[in-house]
Amino acid sequence: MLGFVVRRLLQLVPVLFGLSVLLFIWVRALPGDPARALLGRHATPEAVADVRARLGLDKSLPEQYVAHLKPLFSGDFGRSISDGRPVLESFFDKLPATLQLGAAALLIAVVVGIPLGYLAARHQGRWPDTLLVSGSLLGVVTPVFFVAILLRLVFADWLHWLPTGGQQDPRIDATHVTDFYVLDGILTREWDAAWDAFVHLILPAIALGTMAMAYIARITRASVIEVLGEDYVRTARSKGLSVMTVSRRHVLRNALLAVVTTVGLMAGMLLSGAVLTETVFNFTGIGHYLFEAISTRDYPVIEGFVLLIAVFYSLINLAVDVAYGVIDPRVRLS
Amino acid sequence: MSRARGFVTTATAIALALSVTSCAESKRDSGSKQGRGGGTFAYATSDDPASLDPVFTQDMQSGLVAAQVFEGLTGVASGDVRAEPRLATGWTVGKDGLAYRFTLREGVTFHDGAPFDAEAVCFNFDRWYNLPRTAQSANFAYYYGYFFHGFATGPTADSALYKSCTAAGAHEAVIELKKPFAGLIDALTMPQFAMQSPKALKKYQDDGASNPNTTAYSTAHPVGTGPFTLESWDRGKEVVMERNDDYWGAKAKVDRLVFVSKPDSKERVAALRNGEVNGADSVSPTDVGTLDREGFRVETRRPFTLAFLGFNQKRKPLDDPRVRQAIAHAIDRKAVIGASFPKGTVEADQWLPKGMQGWAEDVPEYANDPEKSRRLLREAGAVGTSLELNYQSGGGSACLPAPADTLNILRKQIEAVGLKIKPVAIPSSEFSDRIYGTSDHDIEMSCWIGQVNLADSFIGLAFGFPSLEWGFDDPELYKDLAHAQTVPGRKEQNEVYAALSKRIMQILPGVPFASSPSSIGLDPEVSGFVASPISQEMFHTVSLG
Repeated sequence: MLGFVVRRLLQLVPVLFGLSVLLFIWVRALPGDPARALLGRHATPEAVADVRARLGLDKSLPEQYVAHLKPLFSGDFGRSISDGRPVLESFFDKLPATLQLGAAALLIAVVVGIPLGYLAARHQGRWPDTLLVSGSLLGVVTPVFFVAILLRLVFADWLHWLPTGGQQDPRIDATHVTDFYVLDGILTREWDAAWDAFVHLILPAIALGTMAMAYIARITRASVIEVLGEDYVRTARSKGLSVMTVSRRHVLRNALLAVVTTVGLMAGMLLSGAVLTETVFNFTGIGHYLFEAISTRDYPVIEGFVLLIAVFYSLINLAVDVAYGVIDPRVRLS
Repeated sequence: MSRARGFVTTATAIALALSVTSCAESKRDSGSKQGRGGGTFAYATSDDPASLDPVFTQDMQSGLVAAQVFEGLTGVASGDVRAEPRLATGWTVGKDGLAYRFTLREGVTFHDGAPFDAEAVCFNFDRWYNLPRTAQSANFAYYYGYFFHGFATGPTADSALYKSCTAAGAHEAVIELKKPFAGLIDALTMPQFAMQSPKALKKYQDDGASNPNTTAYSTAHPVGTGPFTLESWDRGKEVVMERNDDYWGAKAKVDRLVFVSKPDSKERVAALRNGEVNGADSVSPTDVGTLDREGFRVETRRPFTLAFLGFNQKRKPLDDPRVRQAIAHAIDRKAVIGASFPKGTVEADQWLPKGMQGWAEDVPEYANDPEKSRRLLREAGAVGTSLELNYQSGGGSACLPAPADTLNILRKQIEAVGLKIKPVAIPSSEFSDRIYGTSDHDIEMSCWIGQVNLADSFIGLAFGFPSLEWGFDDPELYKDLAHAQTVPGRKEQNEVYAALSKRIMQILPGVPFASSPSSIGLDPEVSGFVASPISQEMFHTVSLG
């Protein structure tokens, strides 16, 4: 097991290296010169040259790449061109908001998706199944930002049930310990702050979780149907075990293996979806910050954030693979 | 209970919790208003500030934050553009217009406890004058460079107006200039020239940074004398300020002031209607009626803006005055305003909004006359030419509230006389680069917001030097605009600018068409809010409930 984890971590190195090269080239291929963007119109060529030199943009691309790569090994991701803060600091500053949102979305996806998929499978071919199959297809194909805007329009702009955006009412002077706003409210016993943060989380979490939920429902349905056809299920039933017992012991346990894998892959989808959801709901997590960085050509932030997100995504998938071995003893991690 | 049923139960519970939440939320809102109403005023603004050090900014939002935290020697009167004493209680100007003697308000301290005195004034003036090269560039100390004609070093050193600042006693400062500048008192009302604490600047600011807007001072430690002190700035999200209990004047009525950044005007309105904020800046004209009907208060800023079409004369056939005139005659301002501007919008016939210094009564008129347009185009041989019309994509601004609607009607009017218009939406982040930095544009639709009552801030800034924006070269005009700045005496200067305003309408670098007021939506329980024509509202007079 340990060997497996170490091997997987080592495999990450070439992947990240390749990604950093691609990112480096891609970001520099974006139109616009950061030095000129920084200085604005009527900037004298000398001033532009001066800033380019200070940002190291006057060197050749390979030289720039080496200069950019070296500090990475010591965990220095550079500083943002637009706000001057260390990239790593900003990332961890914004991470709790995104994690909180991602976790809430995943929770909705799992808690709603699995029972729905299971119900559909048990009623295969009848109306609940048809409804789920077509509904989940809609959920899978609808872009995250569309769901986000629609939810905001209906529940915030029209019905005024839920807030239009942000993480907490700006008028609440809440204490932040962990930067997980809901948790902070609970820890400090500022109940209205916790409640307010929770309420702000609902729409973004549903928007972000919808696609994942639809996927999970479909996968659950498919694998439950598959398991229901297995010989051991028929045997269990013929032994006289109740439907519930068979469902719990044999069907769900086996069907959930496929679902766990999906949940791992979902993490990537949730992270990319977070960029759009956070932008729509003005939710200041890493997605929102990355979006701003792309629009202002903030090279260090774009590169640093995408790399860190990649590391994060790989680690989640590794964790899923390890969990897989725990759930299913037949799977050897080798 | 079986696992399957357990799942279903959990799902049902969550669904129930969600529906309960929605009901509880709406109740919570009204509760929070009463419970916290006296304390915090939340205001949805159209943007995040660029920096907290006003000298390095040009955007309205930075100015609005600065107006709460800082004060200048002079300031604008409440709800007006007139200059009045602020940190200076009075001033005298030498006969030659070169020496300004300011008497300073006594008993004023900066938020960090440092005294406000003549030395602090001179520290600020000397700091601006001595800013290093990067800080001098257009994205940073643009307004200082412009109004004071240059810095101690760099290419503009020879033309710099500033000579010296001397402390003549603790509360008297003498500013000496190399050339007269009749607009100084008005210029000093701008947030860019606010007085900052020398102590805090020395400790936290680094004027030599490659981006002086990212220093500790510019992001977290601005220190002025204003009615609010900065608590925190969460970039892209909110600026939080607290009441300055040691303020020399009338103290702020609310404890905290939060500016929440919401670039989309629809979003600002939704947040206001939803009770998330107490006020929303630059509400779009279509929402004004709705807010009014629902019992919200709507305050209007007197028009001090200018929406215009700009021509790039580097592009054919826009170099032909007949084509420019043809477009000017094609525009029916009344229809444009009726279709896409709020109530209270006035037609603009020159490059200065009415009420600004230098506004002229009798400028060359280009009345709506499609027949004449067609004839001019035929004469110029330009019938059927296709031209790009560039505008900023995204939501509207205070000076061009519904750009897409405005564009549509202008396009129809111009196409009706025989030109083809291809609208090109450019993201706001790229708009300046494209228009000011390249010649790759035909017609632009854009607008300006007045920030100070100086004609120079409109026509001088736009037409005072060669620019890729307009693509023409007129050294005579540049010389005369530069000369206008140094005319001593406001009255004489006004006449010079009026003549220049007429002349520019003859050249016709573009067609100004509307000066629009902008509207602010407020919770009915908000009182004491005074709209400012230059968007420099002061929030210390505002109270809740």
